[in-house]
Amino acid sequence: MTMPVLADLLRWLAETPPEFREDPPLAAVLGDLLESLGHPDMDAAALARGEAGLKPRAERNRRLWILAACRLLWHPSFRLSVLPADGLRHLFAKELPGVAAITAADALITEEDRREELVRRTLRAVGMGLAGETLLESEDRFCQVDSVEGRLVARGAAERERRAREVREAMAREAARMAAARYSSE
Amino acid sequence: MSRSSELAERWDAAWPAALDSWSPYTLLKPPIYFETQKQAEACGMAGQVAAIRLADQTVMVNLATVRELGLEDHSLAILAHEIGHHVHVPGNLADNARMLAAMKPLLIGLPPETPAMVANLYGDLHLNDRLQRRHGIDVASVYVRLRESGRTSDPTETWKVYTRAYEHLWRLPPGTIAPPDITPVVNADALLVSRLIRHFSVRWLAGARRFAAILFPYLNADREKPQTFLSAGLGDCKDCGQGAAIPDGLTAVDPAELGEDGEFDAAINGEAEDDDDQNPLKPEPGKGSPGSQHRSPLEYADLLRGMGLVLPGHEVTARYYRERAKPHLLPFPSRRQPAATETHPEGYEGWDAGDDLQDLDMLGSLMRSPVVVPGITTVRRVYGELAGKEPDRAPVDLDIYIDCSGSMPDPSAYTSYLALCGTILVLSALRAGASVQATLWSGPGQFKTTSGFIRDENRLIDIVTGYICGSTAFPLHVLRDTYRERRASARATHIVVISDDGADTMLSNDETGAPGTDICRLAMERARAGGTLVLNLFNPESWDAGKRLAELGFRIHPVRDWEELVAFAARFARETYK
Repeated sequence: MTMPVLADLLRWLAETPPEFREDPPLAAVLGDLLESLGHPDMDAAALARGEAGLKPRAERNRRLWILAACRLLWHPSFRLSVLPADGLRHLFAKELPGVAAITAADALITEEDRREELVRRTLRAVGMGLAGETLLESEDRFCQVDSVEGRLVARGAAERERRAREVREAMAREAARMAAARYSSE
Repeated sequence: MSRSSELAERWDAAWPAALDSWSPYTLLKPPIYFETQKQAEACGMAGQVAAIRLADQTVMVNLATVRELGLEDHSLAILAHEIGHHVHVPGNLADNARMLAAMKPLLIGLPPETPAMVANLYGDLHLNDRLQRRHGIDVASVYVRLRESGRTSDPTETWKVYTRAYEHLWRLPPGTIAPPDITPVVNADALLVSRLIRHFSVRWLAGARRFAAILFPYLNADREKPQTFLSAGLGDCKDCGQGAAIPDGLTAVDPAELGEDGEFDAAINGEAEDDDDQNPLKPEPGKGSPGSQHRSPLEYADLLRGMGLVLPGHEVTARYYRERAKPHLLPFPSRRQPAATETHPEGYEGWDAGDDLQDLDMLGSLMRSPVVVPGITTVRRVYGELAGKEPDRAPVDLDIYIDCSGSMPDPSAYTSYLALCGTILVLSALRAGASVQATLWSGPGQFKTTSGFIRDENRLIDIVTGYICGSTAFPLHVLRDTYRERRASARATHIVVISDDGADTMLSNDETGAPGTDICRLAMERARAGGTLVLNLFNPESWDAGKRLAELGFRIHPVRDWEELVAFAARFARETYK
């Protein structure tokens, strides 16, 4: 199987027609895509609907991420073989809503790392690799651009810093207490 | 051949492969080897395994420690690691300083040498992971050997997290590198460290703050104990800045030092969880243009100290203002002179053996005599000057007076925009070829001056960024003496006074009772290129002395903040000397 070239996919995403960013009807776009990928039976409407309870802004962000993935999957590289239905379902129902919950879709326009993240997430979901890259390199690079992982690491580190701040404050209190004790004993 | 020399040769043989592990184009001179601890001590390497000096890109290896720890067969891993400090983390002194600056605020309360060690640990994790995982170099076995050597048998808490992180990174069974008594909390933090190292493996500076935050409690717990990392001889970046020149660009805060997002700070402050319409999608407050932030002079000095660069305080202050002024340097004004002169050859005169060789005209000498006898037949050309047709441009000298009374901030502690303005003007003038007289003044008799127009940049910046902190009395005697006997043929001079409302003391009497008004008028006449008062005034309209000084010919530019200061400097060049 010929594997896609990262630079081609990034350029393809960077050249996304503005219509994709204007929030067109997602179910229709998804339906067309899935049909062209050989999965006319997949429930595009259900995938487009997503989970209930999201606020309008977050829901729009989710749709924009999925639309960006649709644009990516229109690339000719994905037409050379049949993509697994499970992988696509996982991508649209889990992966993209997950990343959309923490990263604004606008970043796909302004940050190349976000475009690369989308490419890598999509490829992982459908079980494909990139030309000229080993599995190890691919894993490492995904880890670097993975915004969900970045958020989790930041939260973990922030939690430790909160702990450290408490320790520092306790140290300062203890130092003040010692100083006061020394002063009163003199 | 002695045993140690054999070892040095073996390690030297591994050097090309170590260079190649980073890039076939990496060029570094071969390492320096120390055969005994005594030799190593001279370079601060006693007990160390290896180290780097970023100042001259030198790798040093202490073969005595290598033998003691049984690391003789690990030359490739150790040398490649040291090379990694040159090419990846920290790469250079400036990035090393930025890493320290990023970590320091999170390590407050710990011994002063802690940030340097944490930076070393962080760099080592990045390098070792890359070497082990991507380049297939067996770094893990170095740590296994260290453990077997017994040098790490009484480990600190920091060492436990550090070594357990490697086990997570390389999927090694627990206890391969790390000590056996790893608690679940240590294990969780080590896992977080390993994820952090992977995630920030390219943008490593952005992860520095987070790493320091994770390590803080362990470093705090280890306060009374020598750090295992250092006692095992692994502190290879300890003195990496020694002997180096101050790198440029450190007055500015690099966005990467701040982690490149407000997410970490928001999470620390507990703002991340209050999800309103999925918080991360909101524009992040404060995520503007952090590149425009600058350290204060105190922070700058602290950073240099952290890098091991010990310099006199005033040299650091001068360096700070010089660097901040550079982006704003303007071409200093020059004036048209009647005409430039042109040189033309007028003939020959004798060239003696003691004269400059470059003056010897060989062709002329050979035309005079085919046999060249130095000092007898040798000649040099003589040139005369003719008035040219093109008008010449002569720079205007600068006579600058900086107020340094008690109302002014100390430039070595806080960013003083007045000192910065003075630095910009002085450097611009020097760049244009002008000479400068600088005078720092405060109360009566409290002043520092160059006592004349000079082109010594260091001395000028030293005065402009100095601090006196006294009462307020403009040094009228300096102004008076400068212009009283100034020749009419002397270069035109622009007088600049940088002050606040204390500039009204220019209108007082001098020590002989002569009115300041007369002194200023005479100075303005003889300076011939005008005068400007750059004043830190909040309400210039209500400042009475302004009108009288304006009548004497001074232009008054109130300055309140940095933007206004830059605008002043631009106006100064444009309006006065267009």
